[in-house]
Amino acid sequence: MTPERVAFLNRIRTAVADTTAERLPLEILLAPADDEPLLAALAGRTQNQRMELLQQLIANAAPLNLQVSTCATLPEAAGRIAAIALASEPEFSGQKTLILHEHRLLQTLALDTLTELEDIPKHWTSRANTRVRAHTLAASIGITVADWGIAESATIVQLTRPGRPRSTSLVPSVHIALLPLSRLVADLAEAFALVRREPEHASMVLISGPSKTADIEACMVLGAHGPRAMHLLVLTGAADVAASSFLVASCSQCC
Amino acid sequence: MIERSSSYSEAARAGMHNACLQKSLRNLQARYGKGALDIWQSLPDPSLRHRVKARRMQTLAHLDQLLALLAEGIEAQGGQVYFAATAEDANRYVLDLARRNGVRRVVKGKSMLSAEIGIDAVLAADGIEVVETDLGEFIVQIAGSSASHIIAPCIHMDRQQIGRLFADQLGIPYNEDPPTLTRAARKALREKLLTADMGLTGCNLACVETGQISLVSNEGNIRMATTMPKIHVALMGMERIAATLDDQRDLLQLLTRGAALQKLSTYVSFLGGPRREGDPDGPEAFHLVIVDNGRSRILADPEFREVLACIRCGACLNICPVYGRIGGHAYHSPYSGPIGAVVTPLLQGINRHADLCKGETLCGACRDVCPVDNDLPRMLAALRHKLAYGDPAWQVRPHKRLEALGFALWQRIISNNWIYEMLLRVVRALQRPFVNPQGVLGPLPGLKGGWTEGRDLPPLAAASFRERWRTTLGRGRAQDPAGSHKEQYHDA
Repeated sequence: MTPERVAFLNRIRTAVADTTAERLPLEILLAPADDEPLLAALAGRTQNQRMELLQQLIANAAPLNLQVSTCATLPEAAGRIAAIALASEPEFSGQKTLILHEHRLLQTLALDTLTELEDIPKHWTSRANTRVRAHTLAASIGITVADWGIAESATIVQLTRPGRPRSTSLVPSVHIALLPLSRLVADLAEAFALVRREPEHASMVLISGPSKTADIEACMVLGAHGPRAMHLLVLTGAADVAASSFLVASCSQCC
Repeated sequence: MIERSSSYSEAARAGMHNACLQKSLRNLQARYGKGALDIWQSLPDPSLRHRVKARRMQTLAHLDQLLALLAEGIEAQGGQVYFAATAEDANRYVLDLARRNGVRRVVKGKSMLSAEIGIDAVLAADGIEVVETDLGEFIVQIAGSSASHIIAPCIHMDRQQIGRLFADQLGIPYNEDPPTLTRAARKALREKLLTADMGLTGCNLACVETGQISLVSNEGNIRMATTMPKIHVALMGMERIAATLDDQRDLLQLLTRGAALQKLSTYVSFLGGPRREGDPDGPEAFHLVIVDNGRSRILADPEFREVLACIRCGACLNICPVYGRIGGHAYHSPYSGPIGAVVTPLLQGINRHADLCKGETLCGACRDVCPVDNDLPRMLAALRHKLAYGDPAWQVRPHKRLEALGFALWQRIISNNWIYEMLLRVVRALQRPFVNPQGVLGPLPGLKGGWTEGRDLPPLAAASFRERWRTTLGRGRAQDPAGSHKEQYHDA
């Protein structure tokens, strides 16, 4: 330890000297909560309960301007993405462009084969792509897959992983996130119980809707620095089953 | 715009005469202050705030151990940690870092600590461009003003002022439509955010268990500043620490609810190091600067320790009747409102900021709304006590010797009934010319002007209660031997 660190910490130790008797062993102070009940509740959640969570998510998303739609098949999800892309206007460059996370679920959607999207360039944030930053800055739409969704606050959880940069959900004007229904949890406590099992990530972000500001006369404006629109596509039924096969817990290398 | 050198009362008066500020403050307080109280009252777990507060105090009791562990956790991820005893130490560290890396442009996420230590001026003096990126902070920066609310920095400015400012500074045609103004700032700041060499942010809460700090924002500017530049520096007040992920979760949820009635802010980022092998973006270097700058002295005083439990949500500003009239500039500090009235004197000098604790009313609204249950009125009263009697431990001299003398004299007068009643008669005679047609005392001349200029006082009654008791009220009861009435009156 450097001398300035030692002095800094000693000053604090002296300041709290009156609490010495109340100090706990650190392993008790830092003991994480028991996640087992939460994880058991998650494992036992029925399809009906998940659909109820979906209804909560949709209700909580509305005031946040987070646009939620459900897709029962993967082609339906692809079609929905195409519709959003066609309806959007490029903001920072004259050209509509997509940037997509390197994720097997997104690759399986086969957006390249859609005739509606044939005029729109598509770039992947793959490890082989050396121009991810330039492609991201030029993109009008970023497409990602959420690690989890949280019904209580209409939130998605995204962990940074190889091939899945943070900027995809941030820099383009529109963000589309896909969420398999089986990855929707009730609240932040459940989500953190799952996050705790994924210790190997450099960063994580919780996103609840498009970027916004109310700094000028408390007038709400969407699109301060991040996306001005956000779409959440919840995959249900067959799409959920198909997607879940690509989302094995604790595996960052499989997709 | 308020000059830094103006006094508390001058700045307060300017705030009260700023029609735009008054309107904005009324709207803000009607919505957010009351809204936060409603949320606390409808929490599924009504003991949450007490529990979290107890955990905050327990965390502070272990602060040295927890900070050491946090630093190890960050370093294990390849981040660098610097412990800055003073503002100067923190500024020197960041400046050296910027020089070593040839930094020309710094983009800032909203950070009150950065204003506390005055880092902008230090970097700017070295020729480094420093750009605030939170829209409100950007507006007050280009206006040459300062933030007047913790989460709504430009609440003192209206759309016309901002429109003129943008026309001047951004070279766009005059416009007063908030979406259009926001888009203009979005465009201008995007270029800065994407080309900066360093992102400089605060730290809402660092977590020892995960080794990650968390940062909340609605605009996305903090995500930009922590993702796009090659260096990210986070400034952290040493008390902003949570032991476990569950503590961090509880605190974040209280923070976003207290600040803006949100279950979560639009973005909550968790990060603790530079980008990893295979990560496509994120900074190449991450530095956490943990700042003391007077906090350990507060920690050492059990009377004020609990103020370090504060998570800077700003809920107390949204409910305080004093802040709601005078606005934030009168506090002459990045920390305004009731929390500022406690923490600013403790950090920067109790005598220097003597007006702050005296200006508050001790009504208790800030205590009711505080997500961590801080008893700010108690601490305001403790500060007043120090100013009245002095306190060598805090280098406080009695604030006004004449006032102290006056109160000593008053103590003598009211402990002698004969003198007291004599004085009542004298004052009743003297006050007569100053009682206005509404039956109240208007402004009085001389020394009393300070007390009566801004408030009406009721005049002394023609007869005091004791006098009325002697002549009429007590007639026929004086012989009551039980003394039960006496007891009641005593209680009342």
